[in-house]
Amino acid sequence: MKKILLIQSLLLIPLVFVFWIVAYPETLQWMEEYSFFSTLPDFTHLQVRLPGDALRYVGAFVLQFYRWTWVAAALQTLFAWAVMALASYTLWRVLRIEKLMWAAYIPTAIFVARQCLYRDLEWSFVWVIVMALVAIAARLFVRRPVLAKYSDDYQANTSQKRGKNEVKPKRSRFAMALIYVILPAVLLGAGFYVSLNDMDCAFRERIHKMEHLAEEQKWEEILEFVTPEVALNDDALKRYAILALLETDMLANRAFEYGVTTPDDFYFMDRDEFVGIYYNSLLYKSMGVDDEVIHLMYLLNEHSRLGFSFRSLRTMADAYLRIGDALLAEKYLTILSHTTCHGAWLKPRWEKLAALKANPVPRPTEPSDVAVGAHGLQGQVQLLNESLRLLEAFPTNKKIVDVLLCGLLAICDVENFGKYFDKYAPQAYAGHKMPLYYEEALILYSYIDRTIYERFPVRQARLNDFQRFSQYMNSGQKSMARQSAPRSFWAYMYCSTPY
Amino acid sequence: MNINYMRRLFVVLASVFLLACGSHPEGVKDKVDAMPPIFPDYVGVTVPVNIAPLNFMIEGVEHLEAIFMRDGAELLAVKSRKGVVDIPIAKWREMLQANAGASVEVTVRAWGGDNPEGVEYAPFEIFISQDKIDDWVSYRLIEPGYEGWLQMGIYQRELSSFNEEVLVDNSVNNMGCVNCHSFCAHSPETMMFHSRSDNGGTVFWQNGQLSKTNLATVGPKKQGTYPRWNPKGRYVAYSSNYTLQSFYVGGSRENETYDRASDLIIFDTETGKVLADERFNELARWETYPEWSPDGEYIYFCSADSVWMPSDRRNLHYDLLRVKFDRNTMTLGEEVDTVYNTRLRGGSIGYPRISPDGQYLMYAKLEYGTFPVWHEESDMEMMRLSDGELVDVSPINSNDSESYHSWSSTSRWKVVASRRLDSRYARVYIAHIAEDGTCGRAFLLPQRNPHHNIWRLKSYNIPELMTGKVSLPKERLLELLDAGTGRDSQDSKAIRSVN
Repeated sequence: MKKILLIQSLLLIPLVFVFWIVAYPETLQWMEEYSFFSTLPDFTHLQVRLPGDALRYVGAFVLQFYRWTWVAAALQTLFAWAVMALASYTLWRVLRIEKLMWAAYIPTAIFVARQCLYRDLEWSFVWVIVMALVAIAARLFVRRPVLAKYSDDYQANTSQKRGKNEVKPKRSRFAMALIYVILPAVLLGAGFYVSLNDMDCAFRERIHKMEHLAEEQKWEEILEFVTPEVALNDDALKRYAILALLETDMLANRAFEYGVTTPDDFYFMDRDEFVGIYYNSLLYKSMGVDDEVIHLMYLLNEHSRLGFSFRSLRTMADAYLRIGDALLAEKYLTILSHTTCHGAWLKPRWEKLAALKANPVPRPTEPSDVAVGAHGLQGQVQLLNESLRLLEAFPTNKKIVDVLLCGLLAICDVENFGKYFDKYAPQAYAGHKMPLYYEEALILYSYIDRTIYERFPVRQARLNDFQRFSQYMNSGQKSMARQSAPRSFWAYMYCSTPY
Repeated sequence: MNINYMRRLFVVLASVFLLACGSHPEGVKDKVDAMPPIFPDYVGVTVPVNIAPLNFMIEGVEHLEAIFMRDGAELLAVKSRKGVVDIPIAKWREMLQANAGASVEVTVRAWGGDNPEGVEYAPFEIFISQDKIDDWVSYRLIEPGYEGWLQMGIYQRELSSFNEEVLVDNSVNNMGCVNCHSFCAHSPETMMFHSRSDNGGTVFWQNGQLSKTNLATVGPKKQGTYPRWNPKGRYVAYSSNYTLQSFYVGGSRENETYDRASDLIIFDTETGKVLADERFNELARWETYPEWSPDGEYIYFCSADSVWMPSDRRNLHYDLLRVKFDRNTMTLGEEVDTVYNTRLRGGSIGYPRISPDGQYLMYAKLEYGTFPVWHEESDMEMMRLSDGELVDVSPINSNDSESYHSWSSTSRWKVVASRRLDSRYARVYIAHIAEDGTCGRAFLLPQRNPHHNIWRLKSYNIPELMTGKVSLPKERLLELLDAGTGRDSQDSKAIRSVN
């Protein structure tokens, strides 16, 4: 039995560990982010109630260690190993047939196939507990292991009875490989295959990868992953590409390549789930609107199984440090200090907090007149209204200006584009090169306001390009027009959109 | 021999360890004239004879000593544990009983932080009032102010101890909302709260029976929002509000909560009839926050001319009106009196509450609008009803929002929700109001560990004093509010909707 278990473990442990590291590294990280655990009294008083929520409590405790991908993969492997080992024990206890021990991999494969769905670990624990109960039952009730006709013990016993010496059954190398390696590996592989074909898990892995890249501000990597072709087929990934374009000052040069057709493509409108809420918080963080980041974190908490998550607490602590609210930053940092795995994360924040306390940021004394969210009109122009209001508070914020202007271009509203470009560009774009789309849109706007070139000169080469483009359009050669300026705002406006 | 040696060694080491842990410095190097910077600030407060121990700490100080004295005689001396002066509850109660009606002097000595050699602060006084406070206070615990939540509940706290229990939480209604609890004359036997969820309604607890009424489906079909139970029983007044929120960026205020309509209705708990007087159910004026006179003969309510919200929010000023109520005919009188006229006195009024002895009217006064919780300028103001004169209650107020408040059944104590600690989380403060209207300094609801005030991730909402503990039958509650499936499908739903 020990030898069998050793061989089975040697097969399972590296395979499952590598599977998690390769297939779901982002999901592992997210499992910790979505969870919450604290040694503070309210955690057991309000969030989980013992003993009823014991599994939730244990799951939350263990999930703290998922902060490190390799630890997370090891723990996931441990669950799979426990299922396998307990199944193996039960089989051995009941049958004692060595050549059937591969069957222990049947529940293991089912568990591995489903494991990516057990994100709060409760079901993982349920599996292990159930398997343990079955093993205990086998131990208690199968008093004398059945000597099945084909079992090795039976063969040995009958040999002895017949006066023959005990002879160990001999099997060919292939049979040995089949029993110990091939069949278990096939079963495990089937489990991996089912898991990898789970659309939910695959989507999560992709989206969590984007979230983590965005958190680490690896915008180029996002754009490498989400090519224009990918963005055209995946609305969620498209938004991350747009965020990366916004962060890299490329929104007004490349947005339409990624299939932007409305300002709604810039964020998840009226979205009431954690993917959209978190993306929106990243967008608002990018635009420097930390009040809304905090608001969205409170909404995100609603979607955590424990009413709070490490992700929301960390985001709020950082947002309050940026805003300069030492009291609330300290509150959330203190709460995080009552968890197990935040020492290294907290250290630089405590330093920031100390610096903030030494040089406090004066609190605003007057209420703002700028609100986001509930003021907005419904429909596709909500983000435009919002960015207009935000510009009242942050008139020189280039990213908000980009969101507004590109949003207007997405709906081909050249007149309002010109009006707001005239108003905000001189400050927001001071010292910056004028982006491609804006230059092209200004050429169109010059038909409305002929003085625009006096304030914002446009390169002669672009004027010539437009001359050529419009000649094709006027002669009805739309495809030629598109070819002459394939990535231009003109091609988007006249050749691609219904506007 | 060896075993005996090991045992002795163990005993010696354990003794050294215990002595080291328990060692408390003796003697102080300095004496200063300043008051000790204790948290919570209990310096000079008046406390009820039945209050829980006023445990306190000093930030950054590890060892503290508190000596309670009267007329030079030591009553109680407490050394801190883990930086907290944790007063033994039995000795504390004994001291309060023996010294009711007198002041005790508290001398605090501290070692650590800036004073490693120890410092003795100037003594301060705590006045022990003979006026008892009601035994229990109930409040809702919820994340501070935003739309979302996962776990929320109404809790009850025994004021003479640190015992906090669930009155009702949203585990009974599938994580929906439980809110706006109201008691008839502070009685734990007669109360109501709203359950907002599928299969929700207003739950009444009367005569040992639980019942549920969905006000939106009876009589004028108006949803009940802010309730007030007629002190004589039977009738409950509600405002029926259509409430929205806007989220600010960049100013001193995070949120504006406002109504776009609100009316006044009265519900008869015996017949199920709803009174909706046309005068207080039209669009031109909004009515909210009802209150009864102690004899149940008058209903007071806030009322304002409707404006376009949120744009005209600065022009929204709620007056305080009253009208006679005939309990026999369930009708409202012809005459409507203006108790507080904002055109003459300015501001806007919320949460009017009359002391049970009928002497005083206290309310929250804010600059404009209807929701004091989010208005940092909101303060308590108190009017003597006999002559309409204002009485100074500045010891209750702070630079931050004071909002919901309630009187004790004896009219001698107030509990007030205030955000003064960090501008975001409301906590419960208690203040003494003498018969002549003299107001004591408000003090924070004592906790066994003062840090708990900082650590808690929930805000205290609607503190209401009660003369006893409420015991609702949970099985019957579940039966009334059963909302079907669990909430665990949230995160799968999220992925489906994003996909």
